[in-house]
Parts: sequence; C-alpha cells; structure tokens
Amino acid sequence: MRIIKNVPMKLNPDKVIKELRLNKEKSLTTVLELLETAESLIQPKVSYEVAYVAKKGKDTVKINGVTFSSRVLRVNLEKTKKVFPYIITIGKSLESEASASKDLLRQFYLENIGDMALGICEKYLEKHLKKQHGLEKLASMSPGSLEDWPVTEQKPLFSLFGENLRLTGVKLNEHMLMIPRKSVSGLYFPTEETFFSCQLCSRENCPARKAPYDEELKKKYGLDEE
Amino acid sequence: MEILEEIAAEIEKGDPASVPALTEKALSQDISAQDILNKGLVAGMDTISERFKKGEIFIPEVLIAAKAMKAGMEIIKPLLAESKVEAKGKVVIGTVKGDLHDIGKNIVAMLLEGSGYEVIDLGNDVPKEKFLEQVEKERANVLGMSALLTTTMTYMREVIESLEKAGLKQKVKVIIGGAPLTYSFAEQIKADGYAPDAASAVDLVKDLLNQ
Repeated sequence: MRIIKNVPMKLNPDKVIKELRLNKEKSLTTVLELLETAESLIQPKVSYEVAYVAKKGKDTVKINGVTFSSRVLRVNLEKTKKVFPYIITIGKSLESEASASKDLLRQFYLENIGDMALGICEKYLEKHLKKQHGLEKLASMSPGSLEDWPVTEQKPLFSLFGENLRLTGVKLNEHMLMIPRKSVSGLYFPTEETFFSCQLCSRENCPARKAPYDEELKKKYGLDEE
Repeated sequence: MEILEEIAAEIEKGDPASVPALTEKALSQDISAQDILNKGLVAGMDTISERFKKGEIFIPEVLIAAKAMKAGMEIIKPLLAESKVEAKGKVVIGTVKGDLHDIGKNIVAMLLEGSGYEVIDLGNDVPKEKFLEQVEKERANVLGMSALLTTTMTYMREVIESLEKAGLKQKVKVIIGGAPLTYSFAEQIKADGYAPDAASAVDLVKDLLNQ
C-alpha cells in the first residue's frame, strides 16, 4: 500500500466563494478566516493499493480475489487489468471543529471546505496515478454512489487493504459509514471514455453532481432492464 | 417603510447587526412581540424560503438570513414566553441511529424555527427509544427524521413501527428527508411525508399541521 500525506492543501478563496455561491465583497474576510482555520485542521492522508482484475461474471467482478457485485463496475472494467482502490481522509479535526460550532453558517462553510479538500486529494491521487503508471485517462467509482453499487460494497473494498487498513486512518462503522466522516473511498481505473457515476443517476438538484444525467448511457449499461 | 416591513427587509438582506436594533425599536413603538415575530421576522424568512425554492438564492444566504432572524428572536423570546404566545407547532427532529450526518437536519431545524415552530433537536445517531420518549414527553406535532445512508435509512421504519406499537403514530406526523430517500420509500414505511430539501420540509410541516 502507498500512503501520500504531503498533498499540497492550498484552498483558493475565489474558488471557495464561487463553489459556495457567496458574494465576494461581503464574504471575503469570513472566507479567508475560515480557510486559515481549515488549513490548520486538515490532515490529508491518501492511501491506495494496486490491484488486479481477475474473473468477471455477468454482474460481478473479482479483484485481488474479492468479488464485487455491480453491473456498472463490471462493464467499466471490461478491458481493464489493473485498478487502484483508494481511501482518502482529511482526519477528524476539521469535522470536530465544524460539529462543535454553534454557528450553523460556520458549520456549513467548514463542512463544505472539508469536501473541497477531499476533492483536491482525489485529483492529486488521480494525477499521481497517471504519472506513476503512465496512464492517460482514469475514472473512478465509489460504493454507494449508485444503486447498482451500494454502500454495503464498502466492506469488500476495504478488505482489499488487508492488514494495512489500520494505516489508512479510516474505519467503517456497522452501517458502512467511514470514520472520520470526512473521508472518501473508491476505485480508480484506466478508461478510454470519460465516466462519472452521476451520468447514471437521475437525482435532481444534487449539489455534488459532476456530470449531467444520461438516459441513453443508462440503457447502454443495461440498467433500464430492471 | 413601516418598522415591521423594515425588519423583514433586513432579514432578507441578511443583516444580523440591524435586526436587533429594529426589533427594539418596534417594541418601543408598542408593537407586540407576536406581531414582530409573525409580521417581521417570520415574514422575512418566508420571502427567503420562497426565493430559495425558486433557486434564486442558495443555502449560505438562507443561513445568513436565519442568523439575522435569530438575533431578533433572542430579544422577543422572553416576551413571547411571558405573554404565553405558543409556537405554531412542536417538531422533534434527529438523524437516525448509526448516521452521523447532521448539517442537512440542522438547516431544516433552523428553517422551521425561522418559520415559528418550536424545534427539539436530538442531534445525530438517535435511537428509536429516544425519539419515542421525546415525542411523548414534548407532545410533538411532528417527528422529523434524517438519514444520509442507504444502510441507516431503513432504521426509520423501525422508529415508525415503534411509534405504532406505543400508540403514538396517530398523534404525531412523521416526515423524513436525506439524500437516498424518495417519496416511495416514505410511503413504504408509512411516513406521513418526505421532503427532498430544507425549504420543502417547512412547507410539508405547514401542510401536515393544517390538514
């Protein structure tokens, strides 16, 4: 397992203002203060494994001997041999600061800044993997992001880390919630075509949406047959 | 502009500094705390809520306005208690057992308070026993439950079944919300309503209590 701790964590105030749809004039001072607090509390830790796809069933795929049930994952890994399971956390401090705040607005800002920090870590890992493994394009999937790959699949995903799991700083509770809460997990895989799970999810008004819903793509994955 | 309209306008602007002063000014003009609440503070929040629903503004602006509303509310709270002005209804709210996500639930709680409801927030990771105990003790009109995971949302069914067994289901309206939930899930577990976002949770409570 590889662990990266030195992810450069400089959050851009303009980007934060844009993402949170704030008025720059009114909120710049608050955002700068929040970023200073957040940056002192964020402890990034990016852990990943290199794993290999073995058997493929109709709607299943075996990675390093562990079976995953998801048609979308199965289809996405059709031509893939090497995948990169990952667990990323920014630690507990930021979420504790947010939860302890009696000011809901501050809580909301810190929670969102935490999510942005996780996004930075994900992008950093993607870039790192491309460079290290000479890959041109990667996509990722996370358990729980689609009905087809439910959050219960966190368990097999975490099992890919074996004994090293404790070194990631993240554990699962009985409901598959990652602790610390400000953590993300998933699987990066080489791809020729851009893929986001969001393309297969029709949920409206989702603040985390990365790509528009694509009904045709859903048909291609055979998800309309159910 | 009349003072109550001014209070509402300042809430819409999201100015927590001016709302307390205007609230004091309204009181000095012998305007009742109840009128300040309904025609000033709540009126301001109602407009904010409408604009949020239309997509004209976003969560931060709603929270800024709610903060301004709260600043005015702090001043009239003792007077409302003195004159025994009752809240529009009582809502017990919490994130269900096993789930630690609470920002969405906190926003709903704040908006409900901003609309004149009394809210008893039980926090997150709430077991069914605590929901039942508080619904009964507080004689709540509404129970609001939140979950952000498909593995924890199923616990809502257990809470509703426990309410039924305890003979409380007929006395309280149960509403649910959270990213993985749907209207059909609400129907399946016999909840009285589902709110896809914070603003519609307030509308849902209003509708259910007006039935």
